[in-house]
Parts: sequence; C-alpha cells; structure tokens
Amino acid sequence: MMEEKLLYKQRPGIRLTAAIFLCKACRAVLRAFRRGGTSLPGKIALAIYPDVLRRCSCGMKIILVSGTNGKTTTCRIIEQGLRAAGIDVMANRSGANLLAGICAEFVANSSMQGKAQKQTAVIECDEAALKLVIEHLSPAVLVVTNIFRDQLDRYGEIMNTRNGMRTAIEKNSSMTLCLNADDSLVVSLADSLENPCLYFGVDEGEATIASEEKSDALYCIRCRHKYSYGYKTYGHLGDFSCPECGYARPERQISAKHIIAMYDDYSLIDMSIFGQCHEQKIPLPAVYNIYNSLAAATGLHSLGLSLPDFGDEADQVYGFGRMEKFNIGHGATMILVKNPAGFTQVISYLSNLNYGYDLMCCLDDQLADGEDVSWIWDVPFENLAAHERLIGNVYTAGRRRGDMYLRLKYAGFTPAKLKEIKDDRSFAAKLDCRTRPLFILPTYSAMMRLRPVLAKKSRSKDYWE
Amino acid sequence: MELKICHLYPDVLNLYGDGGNIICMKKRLEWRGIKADITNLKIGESNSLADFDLFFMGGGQDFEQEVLLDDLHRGKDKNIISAIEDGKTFLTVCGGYQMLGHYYENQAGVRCEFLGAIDFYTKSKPGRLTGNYSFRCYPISGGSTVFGFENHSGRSYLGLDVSPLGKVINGFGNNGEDKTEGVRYKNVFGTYSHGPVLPKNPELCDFILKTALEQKYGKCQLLPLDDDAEHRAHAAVARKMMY
Repeated sequence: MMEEKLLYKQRPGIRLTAAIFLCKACRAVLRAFRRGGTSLPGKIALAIYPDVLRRCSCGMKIILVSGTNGKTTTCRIIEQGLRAAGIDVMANRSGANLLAGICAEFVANSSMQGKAQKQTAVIECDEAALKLVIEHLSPAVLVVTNIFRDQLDRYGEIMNTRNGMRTAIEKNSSMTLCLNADDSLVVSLADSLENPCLYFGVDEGEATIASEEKSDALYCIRCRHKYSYGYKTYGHLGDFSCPECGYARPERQISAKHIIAMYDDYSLIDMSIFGQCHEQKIPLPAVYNIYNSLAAATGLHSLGLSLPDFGDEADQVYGFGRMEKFNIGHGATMILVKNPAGFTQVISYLSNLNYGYDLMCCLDDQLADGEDVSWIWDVPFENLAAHERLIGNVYTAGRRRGDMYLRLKYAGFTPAKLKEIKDDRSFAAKLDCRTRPLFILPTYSAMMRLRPVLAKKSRSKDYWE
Repeated sequence: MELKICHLYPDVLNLYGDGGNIICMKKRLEWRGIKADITNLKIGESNSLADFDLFFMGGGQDFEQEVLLDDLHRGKDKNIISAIEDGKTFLTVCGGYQMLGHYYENQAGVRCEFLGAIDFYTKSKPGRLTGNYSFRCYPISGGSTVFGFENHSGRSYLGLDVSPLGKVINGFGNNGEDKTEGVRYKNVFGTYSHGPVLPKNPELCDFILKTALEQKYGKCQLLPLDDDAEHRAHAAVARKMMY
C-alpha cells in the first residue's frame, strides 16, 4: 500500500525528467545537423508531460511580448536592458514563438528535474498562440506592440486576433500590461480589466484626414462609429478618438514627446517617462522602431529598469533578419517582411534613402509566410517605383517570385530592371555587392533559407547562437 | 476611348489585396492607350452610379459589415441594381460577390439581407474553404483557366436561371459541393477568388475590360500585350497545384 503510493508520487517525476531529457536530446541532435528553430523538441516534451512548460518556468520572472509587428526587436531591446542591469536572461532568440518553440526554450533552461537555471525570461509570443501559451506560463508583464492585419489564411480577420489576445489577458488579472496607446485595437485589450496598465505612444505625427489612409481599424470597436484622428503616425496608429462614444487614446506614461530627427540608421527623440523628459537615441531607423523602443522601455520600466545605453554597440539590437547588416561588399541589409503594415514601413524607409542600391524581394508561401500571397497587393510599391532612379537591379526570388514580379511590374518599375532569380541560395552565396549595397526583403521562410548563407559569407553568428 | 471605373467601398471592402484588381485593370487599359478614370466611392459618399462603365467590389471583414449594409440601404442598393440591369460591367470578389445575392445566413441561422440583385444566397457552414484553387470560365465568360486563392466560410448556392462563372478544377468554389464557381449574370462577374485575381489571369482581366468597352463603344478588339511574366506566374501556381 505504502509502496504503491510512493510509486504513484514518483511517476510524474520520472515522466517530467523523461520529457526534459528527450526534449534536450532532440534539440541537440537537430542542432548538430544544423537545423535551427524547430518545434519538434517542444512537441515531444509536451506530449510526454503536458505540464512541462509550467513546471520548467515555475518561479521565473517572465516578460512576454506579443503583437503583429516588432516583437523580436522589442524583445532584443528588453533583453539588452536586463543584461545591462546585470540580470542573466533567457529568451527565444531564434524566433520560435509558438507553444512548442517556447516550451523547448524553457526546457533548455531547466535542470533534468525541471528547475529553472536563469530566473528571468524575455519571450516573444505569436499573437494567435498567446491564448494557448498563457495557459502554460504566468508572465509578470505582457507587452503588446500593435495589431495589424496579418496573414489572413492563418490568423483570420483582424478581430479574431484581437479577441484571442483579449481572452488570453482575461485569464491573468495580475500581470502588468504594457500597451500601445496609439493603437485602438491594442487599447481595447485592457477595457474594464483590473490589470495594472502602462501605456506608450508617440505624441506627434502627421495631421491627416483619416479617411484618406489605408487603415485596419476605421470604426470604433465599441460603437462602430468612424474614428477621428488628431494625427496619425502610420497605419491606424495615432491620436484616435470616437466622436460618438468617447472611446479615445489613453494617457501615455511613456512616450516620444517629440521626434527630433530621423536618419538612415537611427532616430533621436525627446522621451518622456512619467513626465520626465530626456533626449534618447534609438539606434534603429524608422518610426516603427521608435514604437519598438517605447514598447521595450515600458516593459523595462514595469520592472523598475530603463532603456540600456545603446552606445556604439547598436548592432546588438538588430534582431536577426530585422535590419540585419551583413558585411559583404558595400553591405547587404536584410529586412524581414511579413504583412502589409510592416512592408509599407520598409517601403517608406527605402523611399527616403538618398543613395543608390539594389533590391531583392523574396516571396515564399509556406505556412510561416502565409500560403496566400495576395497581401503584396496591399503594399504601396508604387511609392518605391517613383524612386526607381536610385535603384539598380530589382531581383524577385522565392517560391512565389512570379507573383512578386507581377506586383512590381504593375507598380510601374521599368521591366529591364526586374530580374527573376530561380535559385536564391546560390545567388546569395555568390553575392559581392561590389557596385551598390543590397537590401534583401524576405518573408519568413525565405529569411530562414538565405540568412545562414549570408551569415557564412560575412562570418556573423548563426541564428541558434 | 476611356473607361470610368468605380471602386465601391475601398475603405471597408479591401480585405486582402483586392485593390490589385483596380491597379491591374488600370495598367492594362493604359498600356493600350485607353484612359482609365478611377473613382473611389466610400461609405457616406453618394455619387450617381450612372456615369460609370465598370464597377469593382472586393471582400470585407465581418466587423464592418453592419456599417456597410446601413450605407447600402440608404439608396446605393437601388442604384447598384439598376446599374446591373442596365448592363454595366461588374467584377465582384468574395464578400462583394456574396453581397449581390439575396442574403447571408450565419451558422446560428440568423439572416442578413443583402442586395438581391442576382438570384443566389449564401450560407455559412463550419469549416473554412481555404487554399489555392482553379476553375475554368465558361465560354460565355472567355473560357480561360483561372488560378486564385479562396478563403470563405460562406457557401453560395445559385438559383436555377443563374449561370456560374466557371467550373471548379481544383478546390472548392461556390460551395465545395456542385463544382460551380462564382456567378455570371448579364455583365456581372462574381468570384470567390479573393484579392488580386486579375494580375495572374490576364485573359479574364481582358475579357472583363472588353465587355465594358463593348458595352460603351460597340464591338472592339484589344491590342495584345506582352504577358510573359503573367503567364509565368500563372504557370508557377499551376505547377504548384499539380503535385
């Protein structure tokens, strides 16, 4: 009787250790064969011991970052801030941000008995997976960057994404929410909830007639009246308010009071933290990275920390594939593109450059990219075609390079500049960028395919570092 | 020659790259020296529809549907119906296509009254019909093979006197049951091929443009264009769907 009870008590322990062991072993094998970013180890662990993630993350301080765009960059900055404060931190740096991938990271951080090694984690979480992930994790902080229309075949309508995130948040009333105040969809996540809440935003933008802009959130989420805007920063982000029901942008505790200057490599802002202003350098270009930095600053603030001193080590915040620079000839820069909102920002960044460059657009249609490639028609390539005198060659690559080629043709690029590249890996391997720098804009799978080739050429670190 | 094109509700019916069809029509007209004049007609705007030659309506999200129906029922519905009866050319995609039928019934059995311009209805059923698909247009709609992407939970059922746009080769089409795809009524072309159906399917695009031009100017021939890139993209999806 006594023995039987003991055995019963031991069994979960054995199962847990088995789950952890197999997960670690599988991961090691996959890495030995240079297959990074995989969900298999996590799936194995969860199958053997469904509670493995909760066990391995027990007692840890977890900062979760979710939203459509900017998750990776925001995580990198938060991580850097924690490191600068002397805190040893784990993170899912490879971008495996679904339940299985996140699980594998926590298992890797734990002992065979399920005890966490590093005590702090910065985790990016796919917005559609948040609902599920939050059942396994108890984050102290949730940062939401923004909600944009994304791959329709995977996420469904934008409201599904928002509703799924809301359900997730309702499950955890104690975690601190760090929300983008300029995004009406994100703000609605905290509606009538008791969670402690911090808002970030940009306090100036372009005055615009709201109806002229393409927007993912035209109508009030509460009463379906049309929003009015004092100004917009990009997409549907800005100083929104509903004239009918009064739903409006909340006060920002952390904000960019004023954008002093934006350059090709960095921006300068007047940053306000609870009313205290200081000049802050954002070591990444474009307005969306100002948002990412504000998101990170808000996340860090909730932990009693502030943005790190970026100094000259700006390269550290370049998440892989996000404005990542490879040291080849005049330079190759990779900018991941996933959806119309993000791509539109990249287009506006490129349109502001005043030097010549080549361009390579790699469009894939695997599950991670979205099987439906229709979204490229929502990206204003026409704006880029208007600057084509600065662009040498425009290469299209990837499994759906034909669709990308058509998009660029119809955007008005001179046909002689457009070139289809069949085998983009060998193209990347031969790259010398001798005449001009190159911007590579890949979707997710294309990035995973090309990045190791470029990393090898420029001898930067592999992505599963 | 000139075509006046009206983009109906670009502010809400713009689900996924739908605007690509407008870009495509405009370019293919201009490359042939035909003027294309595009007018966006948004919610709350009430121009007369009589001046336009060609209409486009894309797909939308459920969230904005209420706003849209309110606006339609403020008079635009009657104008759209008379434009259709007058033989004006329409391309309607996904949600915009469904909008021309009698009603949409959701899975709880609640009906939403639509335009009733064409005799068909749409019922939502569990399971979305999603993926690359292909269909062949009937000869009366040009006879070309079309590759597109569908993503809908609504199943459309055509009335007895209404012809489909084409026959499904791969995928689901109107309802995944009867192999019909889209609708062709007078000069209305309705399809589930959401987003930018026209760029990769230049024959369909040209057939629609020709329909609108002939309606306005009488018999005409379109100059051939260099469609190598279009055919390559078309063939790439065809290959993808073979295996």
